[in-house]
Amino acid sequence: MTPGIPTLLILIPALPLTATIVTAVFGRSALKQNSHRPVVLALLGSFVASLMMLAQVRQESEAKPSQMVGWETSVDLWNWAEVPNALNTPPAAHSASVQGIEHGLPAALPFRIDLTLRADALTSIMLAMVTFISLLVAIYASGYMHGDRGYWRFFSYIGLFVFSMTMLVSASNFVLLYVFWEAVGLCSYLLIGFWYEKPEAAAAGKKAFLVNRIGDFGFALALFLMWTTYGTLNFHDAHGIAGILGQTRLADPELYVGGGVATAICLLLMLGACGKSAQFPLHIWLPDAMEGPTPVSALIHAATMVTAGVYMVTRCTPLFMVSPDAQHVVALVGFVTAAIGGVIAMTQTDLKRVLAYSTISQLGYMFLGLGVATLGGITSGMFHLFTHAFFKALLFLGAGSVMHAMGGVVDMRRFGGLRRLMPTTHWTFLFGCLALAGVIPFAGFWSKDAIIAAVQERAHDEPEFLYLYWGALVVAFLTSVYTFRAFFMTFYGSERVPYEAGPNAHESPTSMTVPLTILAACALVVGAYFERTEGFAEFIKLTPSLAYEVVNSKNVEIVSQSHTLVGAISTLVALTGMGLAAFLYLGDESQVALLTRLLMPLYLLSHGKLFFDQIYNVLFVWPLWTLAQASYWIDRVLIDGLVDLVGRIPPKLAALLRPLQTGMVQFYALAMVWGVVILIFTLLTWPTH
Amino acid sequence: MDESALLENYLIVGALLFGTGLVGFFSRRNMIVMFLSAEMMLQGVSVNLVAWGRYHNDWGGQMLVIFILTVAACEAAIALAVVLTLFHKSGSLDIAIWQRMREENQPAYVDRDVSPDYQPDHQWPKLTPSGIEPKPDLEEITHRAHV
Amino acid sequence: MPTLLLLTIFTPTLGALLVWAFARNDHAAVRQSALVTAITTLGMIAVLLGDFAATDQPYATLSYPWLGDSSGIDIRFSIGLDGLSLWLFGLSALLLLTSVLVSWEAIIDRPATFYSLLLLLGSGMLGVFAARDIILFYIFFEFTLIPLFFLIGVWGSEDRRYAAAKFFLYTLAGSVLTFLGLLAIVLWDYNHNESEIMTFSIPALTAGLAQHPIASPYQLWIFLALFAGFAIKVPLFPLHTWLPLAHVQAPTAGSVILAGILLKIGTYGFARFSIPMLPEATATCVPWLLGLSVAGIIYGALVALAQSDMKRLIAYSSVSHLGYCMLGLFALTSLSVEGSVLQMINHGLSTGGLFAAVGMVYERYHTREIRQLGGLARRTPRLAFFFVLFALSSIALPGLNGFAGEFLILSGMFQRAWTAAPQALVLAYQVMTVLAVFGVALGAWYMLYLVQRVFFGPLKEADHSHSDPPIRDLSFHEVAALSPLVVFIVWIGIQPEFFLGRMRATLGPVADNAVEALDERQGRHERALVGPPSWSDTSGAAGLPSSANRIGGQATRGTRHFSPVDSLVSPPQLPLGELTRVE
Repeated sequence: MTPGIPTLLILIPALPLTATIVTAVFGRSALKQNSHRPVVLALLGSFVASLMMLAQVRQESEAKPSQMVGWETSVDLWNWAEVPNALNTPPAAHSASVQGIEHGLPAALPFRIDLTLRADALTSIMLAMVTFISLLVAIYASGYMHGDRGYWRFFSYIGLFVFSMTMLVSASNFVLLYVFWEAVGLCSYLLIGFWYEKPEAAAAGKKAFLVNRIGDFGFALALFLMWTTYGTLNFHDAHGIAGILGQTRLADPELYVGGGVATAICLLLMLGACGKSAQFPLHIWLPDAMEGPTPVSALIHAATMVTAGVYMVTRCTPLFMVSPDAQHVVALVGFVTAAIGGVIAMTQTDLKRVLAYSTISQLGYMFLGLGVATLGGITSGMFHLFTHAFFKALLFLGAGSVMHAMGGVVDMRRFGGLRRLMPTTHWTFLFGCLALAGVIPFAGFWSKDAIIAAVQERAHDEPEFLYLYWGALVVAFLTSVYTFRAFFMTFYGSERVPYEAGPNAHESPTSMTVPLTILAACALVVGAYFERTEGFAEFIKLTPSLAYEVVNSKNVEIVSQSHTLVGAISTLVALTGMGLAAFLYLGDESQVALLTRLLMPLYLLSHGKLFFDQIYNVLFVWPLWTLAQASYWIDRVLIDGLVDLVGRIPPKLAALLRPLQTGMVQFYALAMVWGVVILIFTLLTWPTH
Repeated sequence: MDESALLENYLIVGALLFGTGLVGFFSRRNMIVMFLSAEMMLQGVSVNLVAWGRYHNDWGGQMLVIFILTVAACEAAIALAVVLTLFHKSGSLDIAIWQRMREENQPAYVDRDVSPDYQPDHQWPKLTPSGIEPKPDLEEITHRAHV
Repeated sequence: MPTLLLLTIFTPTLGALLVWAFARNDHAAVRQSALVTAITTLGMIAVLLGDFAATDQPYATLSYPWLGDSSGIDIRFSIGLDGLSLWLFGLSALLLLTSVLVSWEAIIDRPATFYSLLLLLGSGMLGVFAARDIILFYIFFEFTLIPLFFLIGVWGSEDRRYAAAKFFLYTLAGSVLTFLGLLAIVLWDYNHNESEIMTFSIPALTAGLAQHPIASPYQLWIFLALFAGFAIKVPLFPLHTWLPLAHVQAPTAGSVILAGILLKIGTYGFARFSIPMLPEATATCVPWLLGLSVAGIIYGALVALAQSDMKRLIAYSSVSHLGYCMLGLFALTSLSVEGSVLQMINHGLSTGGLFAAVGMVYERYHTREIRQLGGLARRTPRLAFFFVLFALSSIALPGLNGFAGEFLILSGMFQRAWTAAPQALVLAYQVMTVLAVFGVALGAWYMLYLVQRVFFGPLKEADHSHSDPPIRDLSFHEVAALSPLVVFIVWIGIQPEFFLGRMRATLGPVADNAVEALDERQGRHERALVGPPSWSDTSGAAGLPSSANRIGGQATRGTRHFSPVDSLVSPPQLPLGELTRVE
């Protein structure tokens, strides 16, 4: 008997959590180098469960009752907080059951937050993707991390991460989303700083957390604004109140508040997404996050966690739909980020950093797709998220494999020509590069193409998007160049091995190459399969947030002719990029030197990562730091000084009377007599009446 | 002699006693003399009380004086004990020594030296300094021995 | 149960006497009996808390005449618990246990005196939260100062005398004024109630003042008098400078108790006296108090960022976090008040834990300087685990307790600023809210800075050559000291409703009058558009004086008094709101 959706929904996060607890408790003493076993088992279980859920959700979604706007279901676990009569019912709050009746709600709404998990198309596909990638990464890490002192610690963090990530994508209210939004941030912090003795790792972890906190600041404000605007924070309709993304509102899009409030909510949400998904201007933490172990970079900083922002914006599509300004901001941010990532990646020499900037760039593509805000754009953004997870995880794991063999060296200038030494890694890495560059028929081609095509579609209505379209093509060219630059520098040219690698650098063990092979196969087929069957877009479309009429009405059927044209152009661009990379980096590198000298200012900018860190230091970090020091000075000198000053008043007053204490008895007696005399005199002369 | 004139006489005596005591207390630095002066003030007040009691035909005044005498006896004992202790501590009966009990950083009263060319025009009779063992007058002793 | 409550309060006193009388010369016996006392107290409280029902009725009350005479002065020994004091009462006992355990090896100088004072302090804290009579409250309130004065002054660090004196005088100076204010409340009630009894009972006064509120100008002065003591205790910016000093100099146990409980007495005082008894003055002062709270949040965080001493950093973080408590209390929405009381507990757990953990670092390395330490996660992984957990709780990581409190406070404050702010101050309130939310991000900065410097990075140990034993990880009793805190940190984080539900029935009435006064000040037309929340809809039946009563009371009082301040800000208005409510 197959378990039902509610059971599966609970099982998927519960398994990794159990594994985490088991590993954390027994890891150090009992499991030791077997610590990966509970986690890998749990992830396998979760993956199987997600596949089962995917199948059931698909079945249910396609057979959904006609009055539903996209199929969804939710499971309540327990009540997190319920404050009755917390908010006077705002105008935009709406009763879930009785539509169109003004008095369906009480005068004040409760602040009710439940631990509610949901299942719908978007959630189930995210769950499947997350558990699949994390399973492969966990297997890979059991080889990669073998022998590390913190082996058990690593796997308990990984389990915790998968728990948080699965909860994040299945949360059914904004508070829960926020909770696990920060929880994955915590896992990221812990895993970046996994080798905490390295000062860079500890600093990078802190930086990631803090930059994310800036984003979460916006996210939190968005939550509060939604609470005061809509009177609920639930996605779904619950307890008689229409959820923000619930059936009632989706059936009647008039119920969404537009105007400035909508734009504010969306921009604040976008700030949150910028933090988590490393978008401009909060992208600066991701390259530093590469200090973490490579499987972590693959899992968290390429495939899953960084896409949470994309997931969130997709989930909130109805909110973005009422604010065209916000859509433009999303598109623009996405494009700018894609460009920045592409430009910086051109000149980096650290293999993992090239991949990190390419991740930033690809995430930018996804946001560009979401910003297009047509059904085509959003589904293609999600599609890119999906395919990107496979090939970027593949690339990172490949880079990890190289690092493993090279004794931890990631500087591409110090090794080269590794294709004979590491044949499996070479082939799989090539597949990843082809997918990333968007060469037909690899996965990246289909999804990136869909985004570019969607941008072009939107340009029919709004000519401004034409600039983004050309820009996106240029970035695609950059992508192709830097990808193959890294590939050629690593695997071609004369064979060079750094001394850290030791005398017999060799191909990685099976536990590492098997995941690589599986991912490479995915990078090859996953795009084409879903594209050919139209499966991905059709399925994602069934999500309630995407199934309502506003999105669908904007959906111009993708004209196959223009799509083909776009596909042809982008393939051409990718191949040109590849050619340029081959011309520059195969053979002698005199052209590179010449080009560098010709474009020296550009090169310096790119090499210096556009100096974002420095600019932020000058603009924010130092002023705050100075302000902190100044405040401390004020505290010590002014405020505490004032307190001490007040403390000195009584002694000063008392000092005025001190001369009276002469120590001469006669003086005291005289004073007493004078006192009596004055008293008597006063008594006698006191005017009566 | 009528009652009020009689009262007046007593009151004058009382006031004189009190005033003498007051002046003595203020002007002398010898603790024992100061104590005696204080006692004198007390007696002045007592005379007052007795006089008024007689005037009002009320024994209350007399009674109170009897009490005062008793209490004064106790007080005298305590006061002398205190004076003795102070003497033991400082070796002197000068009350001014104890001005070191004043507040910190306050100027002390300094006795001005009598200028060397000061000649008292008149030698007043002097009490034996109390508390200091009088120097035995050999002549006296020898004279007495012959008595 | 009342007897059990009485026993609970005085068990630590009894323990202190026993320690002092019978075990004075035996270090092991001293600390064991102190531990047994603390565990017994905690056990009894567990029974009390387990029995508590979530109603607005006071629980386990006990009251008998104490001081008083035929002239009608009625000072009673009156104790009991309600939703407001319940968890603070429990937290006191929990932190008492923690502080006994953290002193286990740290205190070798005159242990009997130390533990006696610590246990006496425990009785004082429990008494403050259980007292239902003003005089009894005040006695316990002041009594907490004395043992702590000696704990800091005798067992503190190098500058302990100055710190103890400053702490004592500063807080005492404020609380003397508080006492005057409390007496003024009693006298007003005496002059205006029908009976001839001068009651000192807190619930009776609260109910009485709802019937015949204090005239506005007096209310403001009395509010300021109470404010003097409570705000210094909290401590509200800019009255906080005694706190870092006292924390830095105090022994670990003193810091734990000071941060965990004694600061909460200030916020508790506001919630117990100022807000329910002086609603109009509260309404007048709300903008100022919110401003000060937010200033404290940002300022505390900034100053914490500039610290090089671990304890001082955490002390300034307390200033910041207590700012959230005050913000929630004076935002006067149901969300924020509940969040605020929860945050009092949260801060006690997380900052108490942080101080305990810093104490453990200090015991090993005899330094509190951040720059002398580094990479301790390698040497003491368990300590690092606990420290990071407490730090995360302190920076409001979702899933741990700090988040639950701060989220409720901030959403309540947001609600106040966006839907129910007075017209002239809307922008100011909104800026305050945004700053307060930003304070959460700043909080992460200094806390992670501390964690990164001390526990991560390459191993750097301060010179500890003079301590003979090698550096060990946490011992059993140290783990035992910290673990209970962790249990509650996680529990509150994942199910705050368990704790909120038990305090809710009491908290509604606390702010009800003040909300109404605020409502009135802000004018009726504003309310018609977007009104502030009111609990009266549901809680009217639950023992509150009903609206009808209030209107009756007002009619007999005739014209309302408005303070000069009041009339400057908004002209006197007819109480139309209440007229409409009659319909």
